[in-house]
Amino acid sequence: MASFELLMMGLENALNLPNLVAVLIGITLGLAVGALPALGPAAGVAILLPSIVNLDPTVAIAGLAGVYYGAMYGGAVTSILLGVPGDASSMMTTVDGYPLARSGQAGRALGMNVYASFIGGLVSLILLTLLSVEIARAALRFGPPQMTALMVLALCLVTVLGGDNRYKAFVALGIGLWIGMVGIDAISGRPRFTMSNMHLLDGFDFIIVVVGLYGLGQMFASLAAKSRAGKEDRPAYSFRSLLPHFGDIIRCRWALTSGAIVGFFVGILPGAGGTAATVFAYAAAKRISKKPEEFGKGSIEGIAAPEAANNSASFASMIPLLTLGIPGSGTTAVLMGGLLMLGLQPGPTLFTDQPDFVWTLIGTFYIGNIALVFLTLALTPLLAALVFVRMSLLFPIVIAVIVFGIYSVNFSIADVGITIGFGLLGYILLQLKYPLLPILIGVILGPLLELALRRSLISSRGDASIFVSDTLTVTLFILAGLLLIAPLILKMVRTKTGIATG
Amino acid sequence: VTWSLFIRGVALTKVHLDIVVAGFFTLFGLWVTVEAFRYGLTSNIGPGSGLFPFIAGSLMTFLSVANLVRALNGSEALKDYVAMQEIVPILAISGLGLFYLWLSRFLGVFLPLPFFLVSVSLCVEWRPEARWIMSILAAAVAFSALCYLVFVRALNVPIPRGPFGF
Repeated sequence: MASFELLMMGLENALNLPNLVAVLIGITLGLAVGALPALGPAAGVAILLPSIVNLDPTVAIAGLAGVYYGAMYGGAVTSILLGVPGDASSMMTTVDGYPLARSGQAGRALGMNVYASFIGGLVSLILLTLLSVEIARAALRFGPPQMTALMVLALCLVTVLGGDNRYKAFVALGIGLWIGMVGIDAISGRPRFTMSNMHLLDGFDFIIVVVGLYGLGQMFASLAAKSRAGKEDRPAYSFRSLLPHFGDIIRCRWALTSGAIVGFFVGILPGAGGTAATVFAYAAAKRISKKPEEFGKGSIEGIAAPEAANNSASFASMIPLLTLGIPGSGTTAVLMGGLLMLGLQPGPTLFTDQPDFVWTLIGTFYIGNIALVFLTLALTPLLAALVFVRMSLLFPIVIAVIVFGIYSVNFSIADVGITIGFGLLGYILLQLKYPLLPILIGVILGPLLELALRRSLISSRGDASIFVSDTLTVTLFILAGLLLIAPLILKMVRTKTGIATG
Repeated sequence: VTWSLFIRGVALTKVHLDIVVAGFFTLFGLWVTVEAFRYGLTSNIGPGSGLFPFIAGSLMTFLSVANLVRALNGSEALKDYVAMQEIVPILAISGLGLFYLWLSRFLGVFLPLPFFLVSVSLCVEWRPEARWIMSILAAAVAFSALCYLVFVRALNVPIPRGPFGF
């Protein structure tokens, strides 16, 4: 069946009441999560993950995905109204959004945020529909050696691009790989790193790790940042200043188009993520703008490009997740954990084994993208109020949601204690600039990589030359190697150039 | 900021914390590597259970040593410090969380929940004013009731109950 027909079927299923309700609730929660101080998309999805355990897989993932792209928009509200990015990918929106808001044009900035998110999302979804089947079909031919090479490349991408310090990023990856190894070895049946504890035979529950590290860890870090900043003066906005201007869409058409395309191609790369996409899109929009001098001082195009890129990247990151089973960002890693928890294995076989699920999910993305426009236009004044919620009210509520959510997974009080432990670990690692994403990716991809590696070696009777036996595997390994040594070569070249120029 | 500030309970420099954490991860990586040898790098079917742990353990050990050297050399750009006023609320909330979990075995989950929420709120923002405490207590009771309705009534989660049946 062609992609178009499959999409039509998916859209029809997406309009079923449970799916539609899940999308609308997900987006509303996501908008709130993004607008609330201290919570980003990954933390929000992580905290809500335990609540979806008993739901139908399509309803559950459609809801969580709604939280994801809703939070991407909500994060920009904080950037525009407070000048504080709700999450890293809203950073570029702050540059022009906050000056615009301070000059009494908050509504123009917030309105552009809605249109840009919609157009970025739509472009990305069309490309996702056209490309995903072809990518999945190509990936179906991958055997264990090719999967090993692909996962090594993905881990290198996430680790090299995902943080400032590569040493710490690889240590974080090692921690994630270790967490993924705890429990019974899938091939030999031997317990590993269980420290003779019966409870560890099944390994660490992914949900505990992700809620602790991403949810609680980020909350603790925000609490610490609040203690550091002390009391701050927050600006006030009139209702009138929050109303959008529709004419800005025409004025920003090129910034929107370039942002959406840049966002898609950067967002598809594991590890590059929304933040890099917004930086590139901002630079591209400034280059093609007729008024580049306005950028940084409250340019509406300076909001259009990064916001289109941001939403485009968030849908593009679904491609490696759904077609290859490789999450490229923190939020898609959490979503992949959710898929695995619900008994679905992301990857090329998902398209052949569960076409109903995949295309209904893609259908909910389209519906969600349209619903986002109406919900955000209607809820903007409320979101603007949420931005100013006191942390002393928000924090206990989130803690209670975490406690009950984690408890309801296995009905275990000990799990809640372990989650608090992971929360403290996440806080310490964040303080020392250890990126958390490689840990999460290590936990998820580690067991799959080990299985692919060992299956390859078992099929070749221990002969490692199986990893250089075909062009694709060799190419993927060379790319991974280049990624690792490229920064060193660049550093050497820069040092040499510096010496030569004095 | 030096060790003396930490000892006096004022602050902990991130450089010192970085050294401690890098040292811990070095030892941890070594432990994983040693355990990997115990599991066996090879087996009669090819790779053993210890092959992958060996790769992960070695990666962690070597790069943690590199981090340790960088932290000791001052190559890391961790100039600031973690003030006690940042650490205390986080440790207090974690401690309160564990105390609440212990208490919930005897009193059930819902009876101590409002008091736990109020104490977390006070850890985040210390305002010992009767009016403020009453307002957050009211919010905490309302939220506890909402949790009861959602988790016990709607989702049928078997939550530990206290002497009053909730």
